[in-house]
Amino acid sequence: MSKSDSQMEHMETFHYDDEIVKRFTLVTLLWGLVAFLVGLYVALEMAFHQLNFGISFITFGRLRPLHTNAAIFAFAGNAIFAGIYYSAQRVLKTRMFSDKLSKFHFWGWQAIIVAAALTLPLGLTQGKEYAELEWPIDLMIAVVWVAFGINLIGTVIQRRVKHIYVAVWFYIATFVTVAILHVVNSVSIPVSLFKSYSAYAGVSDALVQWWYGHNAVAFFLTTPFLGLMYYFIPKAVNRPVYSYRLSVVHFWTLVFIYIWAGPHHLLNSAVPDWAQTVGMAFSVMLWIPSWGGMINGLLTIRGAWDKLRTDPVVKFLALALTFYGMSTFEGPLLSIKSVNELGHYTDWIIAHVHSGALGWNGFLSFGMIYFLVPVLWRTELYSKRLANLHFWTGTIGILLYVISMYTAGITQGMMWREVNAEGALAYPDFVQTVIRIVPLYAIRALGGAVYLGGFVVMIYNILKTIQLAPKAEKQETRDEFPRFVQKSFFSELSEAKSFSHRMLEGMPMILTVLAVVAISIGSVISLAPMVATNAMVQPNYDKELNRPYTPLQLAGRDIYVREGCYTCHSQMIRKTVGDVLRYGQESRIEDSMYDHPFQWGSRRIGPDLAREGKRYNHLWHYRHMKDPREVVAGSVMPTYPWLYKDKVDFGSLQKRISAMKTLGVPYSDEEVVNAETNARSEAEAILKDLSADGVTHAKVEHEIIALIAYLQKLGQRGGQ
Amino acid sequence: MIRQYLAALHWTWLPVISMFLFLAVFLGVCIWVYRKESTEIYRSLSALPLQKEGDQR
Repeated sequence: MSKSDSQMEHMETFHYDDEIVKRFTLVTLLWGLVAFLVGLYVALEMAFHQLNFGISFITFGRLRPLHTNAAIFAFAGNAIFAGIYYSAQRVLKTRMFSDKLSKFHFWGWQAIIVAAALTLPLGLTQGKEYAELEWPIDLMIAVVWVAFGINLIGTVIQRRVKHIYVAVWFYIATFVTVAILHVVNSVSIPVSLFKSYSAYAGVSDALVQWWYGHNAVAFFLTTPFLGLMYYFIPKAVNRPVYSYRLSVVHFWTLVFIYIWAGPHHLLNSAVPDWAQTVGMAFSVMLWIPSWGGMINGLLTIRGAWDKLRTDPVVKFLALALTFYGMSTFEGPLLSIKSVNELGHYTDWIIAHVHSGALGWNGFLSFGMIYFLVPVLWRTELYSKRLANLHFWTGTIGILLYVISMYTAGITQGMMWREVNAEGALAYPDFVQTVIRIVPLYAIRALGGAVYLGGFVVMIYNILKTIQLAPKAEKQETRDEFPRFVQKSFFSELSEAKSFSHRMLEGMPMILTVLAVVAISIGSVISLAPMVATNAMVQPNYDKELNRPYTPLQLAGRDIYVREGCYTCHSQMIRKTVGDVLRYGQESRIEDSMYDHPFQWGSRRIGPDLAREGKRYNHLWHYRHMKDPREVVAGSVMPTYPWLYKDKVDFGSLQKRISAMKTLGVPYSDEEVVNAETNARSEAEAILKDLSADGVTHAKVEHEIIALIAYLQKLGQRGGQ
Repeated sequence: MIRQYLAALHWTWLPVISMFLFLAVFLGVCIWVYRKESTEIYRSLSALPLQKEGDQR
C-alpha cells in the first residue's frame, strides 16, 4: 500500500447539492433580463432624451446605477454563484458545507437585489459608483457575503481531495478580497435610515472608491470568472487545462498586481503624481497575467477545435476568452497617461467596459448555463440551432455596441482638445461635441437590443430544455470518492517530500493568508496617499474662501447626489491643456476637501462642473433644470420638474451638518444649531434674486433653490 | 509635525520598490511551479475537473 493510499479510508458515497445550482442558474436568467432591459432603456434615453418623461424614478441618473448594479451584482453575481456551487463541490469531491448557509446565501442575495431595485430609482444612494447602495443594504451584503465565505471555506476544509484545484483558489481570493473592499469602501456615517455620508472626503474618497471600483471589476468580474473558466473549459472540451503551471503563475501574479491598479482611474487628476504612476505601471504589468491566462484557456481547446463548429458551449466559452484578451489588452493601454488623456470621460471607456461585460462575463455565463442546464436537468439542450442563433445575435450586438462607442469616444475626445490656429478651442461649446455623437447612441441602443434579443432566445431555449426534463423526484448527482484524512501540520512536516506543495496548494488557511498578504501589500501602498492628503493641502489657503458648504448648499449637494448627476458630469478638471482651456485652472485637493462623498465622476455626457459656480446667474440654472434645451440648444439632459414642487427637509439639516462635523468638516457648534435658520435665509436671498428676474412661482422650500445654491458654490474653493 | 513630515516626503521611490516587489513575486512563483516534484502533483490536479461523477461512470 502506497503512502497516499494509507492516508485514505474506504470509498464514500455522497450527493452534490444541485438544487442550489439550479436556483442560482434560473435567477441569473431573470436578473440578466432585467439588467439588459434597463441597460437598453438608459441607452435609448441618451439617444432620445424625451424618454426620461420628466419622471424622477426613470431618469437616466437614477436608472444608470440600477443598470450597473443589476448587471454586475444580480446577473454576473448569480452566474458566479451558480458556477462556484457546481464546480467547487465537484473538484473538492464533497457536498457544500451547509445546505442552510447555501439557502441563506441564495435568498439573502436576492433580497439585496430587490432592495437595490427599489431604492436606486427612488434616489436613495451613496453616490459612489458601483457602491451606491445605502448603509442598511451594505450591512446586508456584508452578512450574506460572510455566509457565502463560511460555506465556501467550510466546503474546502471538508474536501475529499488532497490538493485544491486552481479554480477554487480564484474563488477563495474572490471571497476574501471582495469582503475587504466592501467593508473599507462602505464606511460611512448614517444620518437616517436611508441617508449616509462617506467617511472619506475628496482625494481620499477618490482613492478608496477607485481602489474598490477597479477591484470590484478585478475580484467580482474577473477572478471568479477565471475560476469558472479553469473548470468549464476543460469540462466542455474534455481535456485538462493546457498548463497547470501557467494557471498557478496566472493566479499569484494577477492577485498580486490587480489591487495596485486602482489609481489609473484618476490619471491627470489632483491625486499625487507618484500614485498615478504606480497605478499606470501596475496596469501595464497586468498584460502579463491576463494574457497568460487567456492563452492558457484558449490552448486548452487545442486538439478540440472542431467543437467550435459543433458545440455552442465551446463557441461561447472561446469567444468569452477572446473578449477577455481584448479587454485586458485595452485596459492597460487606457491606463497609459497619454492614451488616458484622450479616452477618459469618453465613450471609449464605455466600449471597453461593455466588451468585457457583454463579451467576457456575458458569454462565459451563457456558455456555462448551456453546459449546466442539460446536466442538471438530465436532458438534452432543446435546440442547438437556437443556441447558435443566440451566439451570432449576441456577437453582432456586441460589435454594434462597441464599434459605435469606440467611434463616439474617440470622436468626442478629439473634439474636446482640438484647438484652432489661435490656440483657442475649436469646439468651445460642450454641446457641439455631444450633438455629433448622438446618432452613435442610437446605434449603440440597436446593438444592445440585438444582444437582448439573443438573450431572450436563450431564455426560451433554456425553458424548453427544462420542460423536456424527466419529471422525476428530486434528483441529486451521486458520487463516490475515498475519504482523505487530514493530517496535522506537524505530522505533514515530518514526512512527505512534497510538503511545500501541500502547504501552498493543499492547506486552505495558508493559501488564504498568502492571498490576503498579496492583496494587502498593494492596498496599503495604493491607499498610502490618503495619509498624506491632508498634509498636501496648501497651509496658506484662504480660510474664508474655503469655508465648508452652507446648510443650504449641503442640501443642494444631497439632491445632486440623489439625482445621480455624477453619472453625466465630472467635477475634476484634469492637468491637461484641453481641460484647462475649457474649464479653467486644474482641480486641486482643496476643491473637494469637504466632499463626503467626492463627486469627480467617470464620464462627461455633459460638461465638467468643477468650476461651474458663478459662471451663470441663478435664473440660468433655474431655467436649465426645468428645460435644458431652453438655454442650451441640442442638450440631451433630462428635465427635472419635481425639483420645482418637492421641498427640502429643512428640519433634518442640523442632523446633516452635525454628521459632517463628526467627519471632521470644520463647522462651529453655532453653525450646527442654526443650520435651519441659515439655510432659510440663504434660500430667501436666492429667491429674491430670482423674483427680480421675473420668476414668480418659486418658493424658499423648493429643491431647485438648494440645488442652485450648491451649483453656485462649485469651484469657489482652491484656485480659480 | 507629522503633517509637515508627510508633506515633505518624496514618494517617488514607491513605484520603483513596487516594481521590484512584483518581479520578486513573479520570479518566486515561476521558480515554485517549475520545481521537479511539481509535475506529478499538477498532472493529477489538472485531471480533477475531468473525473466522471458517480452517475456517469
